[in-house]
Amino acid sequence: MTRFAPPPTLHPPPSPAGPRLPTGQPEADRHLSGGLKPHALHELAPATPAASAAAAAFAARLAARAAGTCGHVLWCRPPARPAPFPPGLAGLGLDPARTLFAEAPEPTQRLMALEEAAPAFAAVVAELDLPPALRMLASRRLQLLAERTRALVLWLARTPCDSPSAAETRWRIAPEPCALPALRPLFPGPGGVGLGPRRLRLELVRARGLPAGYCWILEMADDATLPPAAGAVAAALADRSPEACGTPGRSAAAA
Amino acid sequence: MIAERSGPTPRVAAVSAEAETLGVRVGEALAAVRARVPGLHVAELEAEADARALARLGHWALRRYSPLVALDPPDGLLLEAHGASHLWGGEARMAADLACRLEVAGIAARIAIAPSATAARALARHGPAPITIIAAPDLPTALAPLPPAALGITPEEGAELARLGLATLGDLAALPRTALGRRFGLDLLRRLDAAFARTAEPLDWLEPPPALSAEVAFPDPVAEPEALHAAVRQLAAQLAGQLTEAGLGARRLDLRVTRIDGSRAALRAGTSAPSRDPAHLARLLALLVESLEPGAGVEKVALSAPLTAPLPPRQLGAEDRHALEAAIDRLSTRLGERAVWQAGPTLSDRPEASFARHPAGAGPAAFPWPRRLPRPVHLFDPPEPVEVIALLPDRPPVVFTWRGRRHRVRAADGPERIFGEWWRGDGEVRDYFQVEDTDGGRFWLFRSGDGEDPATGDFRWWLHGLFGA
Repeated sequence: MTRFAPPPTLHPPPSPAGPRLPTGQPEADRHLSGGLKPHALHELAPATPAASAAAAAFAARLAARAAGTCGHVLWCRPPARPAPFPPGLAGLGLDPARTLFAEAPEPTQRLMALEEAAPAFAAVVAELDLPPALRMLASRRLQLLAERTRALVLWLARTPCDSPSAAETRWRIAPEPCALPALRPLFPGPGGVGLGPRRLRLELVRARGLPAGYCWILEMADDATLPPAAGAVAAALADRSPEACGTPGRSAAAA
Repeated sequence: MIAERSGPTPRVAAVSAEAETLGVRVGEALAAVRARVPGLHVAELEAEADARALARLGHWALRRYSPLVALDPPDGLLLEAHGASHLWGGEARMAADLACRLEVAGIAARIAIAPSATAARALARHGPAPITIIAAPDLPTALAPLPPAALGITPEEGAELARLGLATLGDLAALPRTALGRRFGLDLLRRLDAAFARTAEPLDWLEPPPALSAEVAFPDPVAEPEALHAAVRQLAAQLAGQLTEAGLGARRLDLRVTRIDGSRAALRAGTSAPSRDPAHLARLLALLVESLEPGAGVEKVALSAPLTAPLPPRQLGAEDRHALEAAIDRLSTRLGERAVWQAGPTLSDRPEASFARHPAGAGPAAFPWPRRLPRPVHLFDPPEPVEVIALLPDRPPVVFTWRGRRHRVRAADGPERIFGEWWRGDGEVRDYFQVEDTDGGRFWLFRSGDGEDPATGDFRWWLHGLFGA
């Protein structure tokens, strides 16, 4: 089966104000007039504690796209379990030769390290879980840092968090069941039915100057040999009503 | 074993572990030992050669570990760990690295890190463990059980103390100072104070081999941070000038500070790539100067570059790379060199061993990782045990329980068989499955063993990673 991009006549390209960083989900990108603001702070939180790897996968994909073919990525994290797995991140387009990991147990150490190092990086992923009292202050500083250094700053939370922050956009990320039956099982063992391309449910919790509360399904091509910018393949808009976000499974993949 | 012929009778100076099991002890007369243990291999003590080897080891430690190293003959080294351990990610890591390297070189060593040099020496020579690390509050309790000989006193003094029933440093410390001073002299008191870190003790620091260096002496001692920062900037500019002339860039910077009371402090910074940019060097050193205690005042500051590498004149358009190196150096100085890393390839197929942490900035080359194979975003190392219902030998799990939660498998892909390294010789086999539960979460599970032959693994199931989606 072949996937087709939506015909250009039906979906005229948006006219973004300045360059944008596409999320890879066409409907979401249209809503955001082309994608995420590149020199800003964006907050990615898992919808449930079990979804933290999903948020990390989305962060890796965005950072890889922001870094392009020559930029560097800084991944700032606490030395906690589980650890990011570089071969897996490479599969999402994050070049290991251009990805640096910096580990510090204290969130304040990580924030200080970010402020010192950010100017040299195209994208910065900061794994931070802060108490609500500190979130506003820290997010404001990170937002200013992103504007000043012209870097994409991704705030990656390990646990769900709903208190406000100064981020340009806030996302809630969860895994979503894939389309079955799979088209090309990688290891077609006797019992394996195979898996379709991975899917993430992206919920836009807040976006500065835009209506929020929408939910989209992002389908990620498993073929990691594609260049990062072309790695994500379109999937349909799941449901635009905010209430529907709680009921996954009603979505349909674009085919 | 090694014999010493300096006195009238040749005596045993050192014994190997094998000789020790045969009952040979240091200090025995050689003739007596020869008579008791036939076939003994005896070598002459070469004191000068040993001293030279110790000095060589000292200079190696000076380059690798700390800017302040003193020799403690005949067989000890004293390293100032305070200003240098941050580069190793802490004192424990530094001690472990030192122990490992000495062991590889065939040198049996005992290591102690303590608030005073005398205490470190005592704990290394008489402490209970091969590696001891003691923080200031624990110092009295750590020293208390050691014998008085740990202070480095003469055997006669030791015998005298033992005769009086003073078997440990704790006993000594409990006595009134004046009585102790009257009975045994001020020297013992001085040693005791030095051990408990109550007084600074003068040490004969090794002079570093001639390297690029600059120093500034203040006419009046200074304690203000601003003045120190200004001095460091000036030194960085001087050193950068010398480096430019030599066509070199600094990889390590040592800042040695002499205080008005004669005590010295040393701080060390590392760079990820050779550098001679005065602004960058000054910024790195400024991070260190913040942690410096000027005490009563500083009278001299010296900056040297003990480790350098060739650095050709910089080309235009290299600013981006330059900014990156500068950022890596600042991160390493703040968080420790081990905390800033990049992944590099290894020869192993076992996922947890399939990448190595390299110091950032080394720029690992092309990657042999199989990019078409599914690999998770998060990896658990070591893997976590899971309860699984699956058909042997090769079916994917139907249901698995991880951390008390039951996951029903909706779809799966696998098995992908991964073999352990043949040179490990354990014949390890793992079958990996990528499974998706009913919520859409994707997990990387493996079964130890090939499902048929128990020699390849015990058929238990493990969760190794999370794909995220």
